[in-house]
Amino acid sequence: MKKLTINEQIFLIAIWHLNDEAYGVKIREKIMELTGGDILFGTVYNTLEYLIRKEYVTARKGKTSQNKADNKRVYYRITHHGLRALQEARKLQNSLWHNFPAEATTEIKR
Amino acid sequence: MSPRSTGRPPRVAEIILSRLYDYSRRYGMLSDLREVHASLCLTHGRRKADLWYWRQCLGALPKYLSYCLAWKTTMLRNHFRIWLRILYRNKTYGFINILGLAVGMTCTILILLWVQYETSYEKFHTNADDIYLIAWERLANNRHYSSTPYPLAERLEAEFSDFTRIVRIKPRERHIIKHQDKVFIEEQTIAADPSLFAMFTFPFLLGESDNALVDPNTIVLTESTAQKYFGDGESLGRLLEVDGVPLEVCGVVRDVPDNSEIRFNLITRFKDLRKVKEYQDPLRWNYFAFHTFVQVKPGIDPLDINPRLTVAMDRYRSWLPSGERDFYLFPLKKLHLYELAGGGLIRYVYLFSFAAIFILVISCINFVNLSTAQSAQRAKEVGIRKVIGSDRRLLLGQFLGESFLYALFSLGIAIVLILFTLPAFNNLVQKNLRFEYLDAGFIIGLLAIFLLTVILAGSYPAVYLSAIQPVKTLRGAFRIEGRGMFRQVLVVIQFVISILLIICTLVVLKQLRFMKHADLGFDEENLLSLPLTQSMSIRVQTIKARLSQHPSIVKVTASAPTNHGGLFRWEGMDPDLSYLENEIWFKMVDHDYFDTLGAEIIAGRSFLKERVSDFRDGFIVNQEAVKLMRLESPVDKALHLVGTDGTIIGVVKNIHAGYKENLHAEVYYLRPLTQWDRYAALDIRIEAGEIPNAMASIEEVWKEFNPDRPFEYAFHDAEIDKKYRQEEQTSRIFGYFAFVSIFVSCLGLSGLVGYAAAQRTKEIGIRKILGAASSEIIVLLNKNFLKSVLLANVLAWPMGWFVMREWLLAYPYRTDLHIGYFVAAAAIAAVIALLTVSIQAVRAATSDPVSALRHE
Repeated sequence: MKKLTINEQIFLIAIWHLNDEAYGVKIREKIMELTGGDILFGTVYNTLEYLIRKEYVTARKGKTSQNKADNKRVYYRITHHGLRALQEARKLQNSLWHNFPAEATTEIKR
Repeated sequence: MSPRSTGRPPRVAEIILSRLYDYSRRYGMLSDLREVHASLCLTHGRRKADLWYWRQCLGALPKYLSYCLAWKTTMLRNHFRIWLRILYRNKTYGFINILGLAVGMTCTILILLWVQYETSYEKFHTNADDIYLIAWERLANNRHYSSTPYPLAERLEAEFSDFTRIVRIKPRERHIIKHQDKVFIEEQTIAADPSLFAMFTFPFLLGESDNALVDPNTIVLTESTAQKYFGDGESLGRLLEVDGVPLEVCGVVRDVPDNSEIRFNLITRFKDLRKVKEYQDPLRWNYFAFHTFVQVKPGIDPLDINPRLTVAMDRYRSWLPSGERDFYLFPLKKLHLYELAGGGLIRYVYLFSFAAIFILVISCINFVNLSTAQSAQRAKEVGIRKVIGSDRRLLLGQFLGESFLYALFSLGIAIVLILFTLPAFNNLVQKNLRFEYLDAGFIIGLLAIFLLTVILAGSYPAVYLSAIQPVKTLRGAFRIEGRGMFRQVLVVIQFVISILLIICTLVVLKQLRFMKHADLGFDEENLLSLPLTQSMSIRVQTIKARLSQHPSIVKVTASAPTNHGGLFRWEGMDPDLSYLENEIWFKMVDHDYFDTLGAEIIAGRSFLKERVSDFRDGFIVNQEAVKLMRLESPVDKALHLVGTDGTIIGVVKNIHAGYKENLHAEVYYLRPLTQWDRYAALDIRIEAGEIPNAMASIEEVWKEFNPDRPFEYAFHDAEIDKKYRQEEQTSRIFGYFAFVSIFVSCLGLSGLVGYAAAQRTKEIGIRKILGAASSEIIVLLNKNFLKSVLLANVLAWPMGWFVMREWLLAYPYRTDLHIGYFVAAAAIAAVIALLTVSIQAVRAATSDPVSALRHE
C-alpha cells in the first residue's frame, strides 16, 4: 500500500473528526483549525478527488435533512480502507519518531 | 433584498466556475462556495463577498487552461498523425486533392485580385462618393453621352444650389511640349478648371492645390512628366513651351494611379491656349467635348436633381429641341465599371467571378468525391473510434480538421503558384496587379475563399464519414451504400461546368474572329495614316506628289476629320427623318480617297478630278446613309448639307473600323463646308513588303516639314487590332479557365476511376479468368463515366446557349450561335474524359488476375 502524505493524513483526520458533518466548507474549516494555516478551496477539492479515487473516502449527496441548502451538499465519509491507511501512517510515524530526541542538534556526536 | 442579505453569488462567476469544473457538482463545490459566500456576506458585506467569489473563480482559470491544453492536444496530435499517415499511404489521392484545391484556389485568388483592382477605381478620391458626372440620353435613339458643352457648367453654377463644386475637364488633348532640346508630343494632357484639385484628390508634391492653375499661363505636371523635362532639377516656376506658348509650372502632382479613369500627365488651364480657347465660346452649346463633374452637397439625393436638371437644360434650345433629352448624374465610382447605357466592364467582373467560383467548386467536388470514395478505408477507424467512446461531434471535428489541413496546405501551394503566375496573369489582363499580403480587403477575401473551400470540400465528407455505424464496419467488410450515386451527380456537375466554359471560350473566340475578319469596307493592310501638321497641311498637294513618286508607295490621299451633326436635307425627305441631323457624319476627302482606301463604290461613281461640278457640289453617301434616309435610288438625288446644296453622285460601301461599333450614316465631299474642314491626315497605300523603304522616305518628308517634331504615324490594321483587346483578353482568359477546369475535373475523374478499379480488383480478376477480354473490362469501367459526361452535355447546352446569347446581345454585329460549337465542346470534354478514364482502366484491365485473386 502506498504511504499517505501528510496532506492526505490531515484530510482523513479532519473528515473522521467531522463525522457525518464532513462537507467542503466544514472540512476546510476543520483543517484550518487543526493546522492553524490557510488552505485554498482548489486544494480542498483536488485532494478530495484524489482521496475518492484511492477509495480512502466515499462521497454522497446530502438529502436526509429538511434543510434546503443541505440537499446540494456533498458529504464525505472515511472508508475502512482509509482508516487502515491512516493507522498504518500513524504506526510509521510513531516508529519514526521513537528514538528521536526532542533536544536533537546538528552537532556531530562523538 | 438589502445589501447585507445573504444573496446568491454573482451569476456569471458561478456559471464560469461550473463550466470550468465539470465535477464541481459532484464534489459539491458550488454549494460549498455559495455557503462561504453567504457567510462572507453577513460578516464583510455583499461587495467583499462577491469580490472574493470572483477571485476564486479567476484563480481557477490558469490551471484549467493548462489542463485543457494537455488533454485536447493529445487528441489533436492523434488526428494530425492519422492524417499524415493516410496522406503517406495514399500519395496519389493526397496529391490529387491538394493539387486540385491549390489550382482552384489559385484561379479564384487571381480573379479576386483582379476584381479587387477593377472595383478600386476612383476610391482614392476623398470626395469620391459625392462626385457625379453630368450625362445625358438622347431619347430618340436611347444613346447615352458623357460629354457636354462648355457653357453648361456656368449655367449649372447660376441655377443650382445643390453643388459644392463644378469642374470641367477637356480630355484627350494633344500638345507639342518643348523644353530646350527636348520635344515630345504629349497625348494624355487635359485642360481643366482650377477647382479640379479641390474636388479630386491628386496629392501635390510641389506647389499647393489651392492656387494651382489659378494664375494665367500656368500648368500642372505629374511627377514623371516633370522628371522627363527637367530631370532631377527644380521644376516649380520653370517654363515649358506648350504649342509654342511658354507656360509656367505651378505644381507637380504624384503620378495618376493606375486605378483612375481621369488620366493626365499635364494639365493646362482653359484660357491659355489658342487651340483650347476655340471651343470655350460661352454661346457654343453644340461642341460636346467636355466632361462636367459636379460635387453634390452632402445630404442631397442625386435622384432628386435629375428631373430638375432636365427641365433647367430645356431652356438652352440651341442644342437640342426640348423633351428629346434626359439629363442625369452618373456616379464617379461607377465610371470605370459601368457604361452609361448599362453593361460595361462589370459584365466581365461577374463573368470571371462566376468562372473562378466554378473552378473552385470543381476542385471541391474532387475533394468530396475522393474523400467519400476512400470511406471504406476510414470505416474501420471510425468504427473503432466510436467504440472507444468518441462521439459524432468529435469525429465531425476530426474530418473537418483534415479538410482544413488539406485546404491550408493547398493555400500555401496556391500562394506560391500565384507568385509564379502573377506576371503572366498581369500580361493577360494588361494590368499591374500586385500581391498585397497586408491589405485588409485582400486578407478578408483570402480568408473567405479559404473558409468557403473548407466548408464546400469538408462538410459532406465529414458528415458522411462520421455517420458510419461501428456495428456495420467492425463485423465484416464495409460496403459503401448508395452505389456512389451522389458522386456520379457531382461528376456530372463538374462536367457541366467544364463544358459550359468550353462553349463560352469557343463562342467568344468565334465572335472575335467574326469581328476581326469583318468586311471593313476598305483594305486595312499596308495602309498608313500620317497626321498633317500645320506646316504640312498648306502644302498637301506637293507632299502628295512627292510621296507618290516613291516606288514603294502606291497611292496617297488626304482627308479632314469627321464632323458630326448639322443641317441635313434631301430631295423627297420624310419629315420624320429630321433626327438624322444629329446622326449624320460628314467628312471632306480628296478625290482619290476611295481609290486609295480600296473602298468599293456600289452605285453611281467616285469623285472625278476633271469634273468641276464634283468639287463644287458632289456628295457621296455610304450604304448606311442610304438605308437610314430610306432612298430607293440615291444617285442624282439633291442633297443639302450644312449650307451647301448638291447632288449625290455615288454610294460607297460602309467604311468602318470594325463590328464593335454601330455604323453611321456618312457623307463625303471635296470642298470645305465648315471652318473645321482642313486636311488633317494622309492615308498612304504602301506596296506589300515594302514598308521599311516607304517608311524611310515618309520620315524624310516629315523631317523636312517638321524639323522639331517627332515622327508620328499609325497603321490602320494595328489600330483596328487594338480595339479588340478586350475580346482577345476575354477569350484567352476563358480559354485558360476552360483548360484548368477540364484539367481539375480529369484529375478527380482519374482518381475516382482508379479507386473504382481498385475496389473491383477481384471482380476484374474473376471476369478475366472466365474469359473476358481487356477491351470488355475497359468498356465496363468507362460506361458509367461516359454516361455522366453525356448527361452533363444535356444540361450544359441550354445553359451555354442562354448565357452566350445574353453575352452576344451586347454586340451590334454578332455571330450566330451555331450548334457546331456545342457539339465541339461536347466532343472535347468526352474525348478528354474518355482518355483519362481509359488510362486508368487499361491499367486495371491488363493487370494479372492471379495477383488479384491470390490472397483470399
